[in-house]
Amino acid sequence: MIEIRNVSKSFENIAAIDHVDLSIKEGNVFGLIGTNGAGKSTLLRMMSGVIRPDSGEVMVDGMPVFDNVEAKQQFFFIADEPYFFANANPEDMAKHYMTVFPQFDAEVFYSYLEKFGLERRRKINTYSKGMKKQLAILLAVAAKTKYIFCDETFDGLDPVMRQGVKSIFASEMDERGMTPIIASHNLRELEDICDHVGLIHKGGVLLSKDLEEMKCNIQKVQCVFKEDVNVQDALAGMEILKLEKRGSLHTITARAGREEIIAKFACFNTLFFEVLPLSLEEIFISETEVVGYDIKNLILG
Amino acid sequence: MTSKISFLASITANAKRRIGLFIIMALYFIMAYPFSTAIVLSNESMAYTFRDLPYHLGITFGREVLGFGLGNCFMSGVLGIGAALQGFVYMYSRKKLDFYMSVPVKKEKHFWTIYVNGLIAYLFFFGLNLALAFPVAKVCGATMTAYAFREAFWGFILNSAVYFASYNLGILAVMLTGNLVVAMAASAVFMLYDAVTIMIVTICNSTFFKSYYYKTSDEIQRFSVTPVTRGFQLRGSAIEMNYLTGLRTLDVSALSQGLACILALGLVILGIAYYCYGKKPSEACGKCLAFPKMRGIIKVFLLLPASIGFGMICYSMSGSSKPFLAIGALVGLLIGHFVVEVIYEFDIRIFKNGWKSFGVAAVLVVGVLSVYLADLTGYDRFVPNPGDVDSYVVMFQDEYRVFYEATDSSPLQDTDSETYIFDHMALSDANPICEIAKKRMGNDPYPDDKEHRFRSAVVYYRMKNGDGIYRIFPIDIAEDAKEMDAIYALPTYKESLSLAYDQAVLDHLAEMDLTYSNGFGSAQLANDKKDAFINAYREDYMNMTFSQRAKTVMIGQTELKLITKSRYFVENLPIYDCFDKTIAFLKAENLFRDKFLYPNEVKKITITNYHYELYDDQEEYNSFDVETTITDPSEISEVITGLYPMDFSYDWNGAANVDDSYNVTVYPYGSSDDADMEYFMNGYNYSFVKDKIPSYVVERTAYTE
Repeated sequence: MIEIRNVSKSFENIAAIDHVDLSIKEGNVFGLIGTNGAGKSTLLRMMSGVIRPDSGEVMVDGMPVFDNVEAKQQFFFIADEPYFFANANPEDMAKHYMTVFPQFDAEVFYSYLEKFGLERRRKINTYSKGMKKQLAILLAVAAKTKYIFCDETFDGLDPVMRQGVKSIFASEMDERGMTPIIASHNLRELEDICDHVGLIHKGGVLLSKDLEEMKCNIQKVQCVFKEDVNVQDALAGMEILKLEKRGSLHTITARAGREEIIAKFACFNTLFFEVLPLSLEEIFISETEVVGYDIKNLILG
Repeated sequence: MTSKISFLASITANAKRRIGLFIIMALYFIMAYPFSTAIVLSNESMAYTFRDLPYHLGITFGREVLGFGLGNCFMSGVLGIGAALQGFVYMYSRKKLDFYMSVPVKKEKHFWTIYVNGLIAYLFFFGLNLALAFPVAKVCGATMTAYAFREAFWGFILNSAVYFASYNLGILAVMLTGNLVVAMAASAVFMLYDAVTIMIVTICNSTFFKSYYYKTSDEIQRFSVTPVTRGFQLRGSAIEMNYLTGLRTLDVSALSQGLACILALGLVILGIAYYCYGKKPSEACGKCLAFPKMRGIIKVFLLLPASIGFGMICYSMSGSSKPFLAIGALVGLLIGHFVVEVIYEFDIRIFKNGWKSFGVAAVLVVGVLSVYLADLTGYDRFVPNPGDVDSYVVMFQDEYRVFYEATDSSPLQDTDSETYIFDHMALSDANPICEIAKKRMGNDPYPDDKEHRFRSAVVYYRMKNGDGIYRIFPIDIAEDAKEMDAIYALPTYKESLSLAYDQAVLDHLAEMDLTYSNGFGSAQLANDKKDAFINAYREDYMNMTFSQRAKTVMIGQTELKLITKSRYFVENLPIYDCFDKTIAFLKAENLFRDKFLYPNEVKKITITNYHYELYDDQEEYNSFDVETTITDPSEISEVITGLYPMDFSYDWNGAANVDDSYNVTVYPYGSSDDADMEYFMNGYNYSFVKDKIPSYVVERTAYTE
């Protein structure tokens, strides 16, 4: 388990991470989503032992992570811009990782390399950005660490590669219980793969829940009332995240269970109502609107 | 076992990634040693002829190639900084930091892996090429001498020490900064700061303190903390060229102490650098400074020399105007403040920050300049308590030269009179000099006084507490004669000033010639007479009082020709008109000449009057030279009685007694009649003694428009 206990980090009086508490269990795919400048990368770098928190602690399997070899052997960090040695090829990088990760599986690495069409002796500085990300992922998988921290790793991959990587992750999770922690803006991709999601905004955690549970707890309802109704009053007692009206059509996003919503609307005098599933993107937008991160604010100021 | 193997493996892997560093080290040392050996010895073989060429080449190999030369010392410093920046440059890249900090490798292991490789790269290629230089020297025909091995050993040790300390300094620069360009600037600041500060202190001392003597800066340099500066200073203090043997003499004790000092300095710097490495936050990457709290302190340290330096430039350019000193210092402060703040933030608009540190720097600048302007430390009033002085040196600044360049066929290095005198003189009773100092300290050492005759003297007090203090002040030849007679009476004083007492010189004495003029009347003293001559000379010299010295005139000189195994050169001993015993000896040997010139020796005389008195009034450059030639024997007879050899004009009274407006060229019988070659082949230059210029000379060389 990875535990982040009351961690804060500031950069020149700007609070990048503000008293964050988070627990990441093994065996799940953890999606770290957040607004721009929320602190996702900072959090991942603290989890990787690159940055030391100003306060609080980051523990990996009960061990503090900073400058701790044993803790660092439990994870592999794929940065948003992975670094490779100058003039090195994949073989050189594999040899290096073999020295620092004793469990590094060269056979698996070269096998995946071939499947992904990457040449083992070709200089990495001739690779495209996407190819470099692929290589970084393959090295991470071959390192056979318990956790993999991915900072916007999927964002540079083409759809076919994304699927390929997802299947590798799934396979590794099945075989040895690998736990990926993935930070990304690509919520559609995360939705497919994540079991648990942590939403960060302005250095703090807005929510951290199982994805299914999150989806269960937020509902979108489209309805048309027979007569004018004060929706706020009608739905008193329920947390409304968003309320839109176009003509007669009301679109309501509320934090409630599906059954609860259906029961509530059944009592109303509606022409029709429909409970729709929310995508992760919609949940993201709704949750951040609550705290003022609203697209309308950005446009209209 | 496992950790040792993995450390070795990590060094090997790191070395492979730093192949560029190894290539640069290899190239430099190949050029510096084997290649230089071949070039230098080849050049030496072709340019000069020596009695024992292989021996001379062996000495040259040791002295010029292997030793602790300034070039190698400086390059060791540069290589150290370069290796540090190259090894730790990853700390400036976020990508690389993410990579290196996230992998399961201890920070300390990572540090030492890079660190050790930086040492290996230098030491391996240095040692290898130093060793390769020996067979190359052998092939070039040099004899292998113990001297060469000694030079190689000490050169290796000392240059490596400078490298070690500079390397650590470079690492410290990396740890304190977040940007490669700033790190390079910081390295340059570290390497140059104390040299610049010493230079500014020296300039301030020499500008504001009349009694300041330049050698004080040598004492100040003892406080230097920069490896290369300490290396240069060590080289100057512990390593000397022996002018007789052509070999460097090493003061092993001083060398060892200096070496220990550089190594200790290096270790302290390493400790600080390693501490900063542990504390340096990863987020400093890309910033100017890794530790923002140091901004103020660093800025004050930078502004101080910048402000005072700029103020001194304005002071000098304005003809010593104090208002310009203040304005210049203020401008220096402002410019420094602006530049530093912009560098801190990489933003040209940010200069309005940081006024607190500006204020602190301004206060310090005012304080420093006040010390100088008001002489708050009493520098120009310093007179020690004679009881506190262990020994001292007194040297007139225009004391005759002790050594000079040899003839064309043999290169030599000088040991100047100052070095010699300071090394040999240690006078014990400081009362006389302190009495003079009380009267003269703080006065212009070169007064332009027509009523008095002054000579500027440098005094070096070796204090009992270990301090060495230099001062310079004028000595009144007449008014201070009593005190100077007391000093002159000290045998150690005289023995330090004359080669007649230097046994090493006397042991290498091959020939002794007597000359009385510019080549006229030279004669060689027989070998079996040298000891008698020296004894007579010493007696006269020791008996001479200061009061006599103030009046005596040089009437001749003894040329000493010294020969060693690989070189020879010439030295002079002056003969004064009060040296009765020496003159008596020479007369007895029929070697004495009582006139500089005899009429029957001189064919013609050319006199040029430069009319210096007319130059002050002219608006544009003109030449006022007027020349006349004298061939009439009676006129020649009269003129030559008023001449003084220009060769002897360096002597006190020789210079004081002549009229430098005139240049007299004497042509002896037998000289060429070719007008173009005449002067260069046969002319001898003289000066007129004041009040002995015939009136017709004055008339014939008068300037008319």
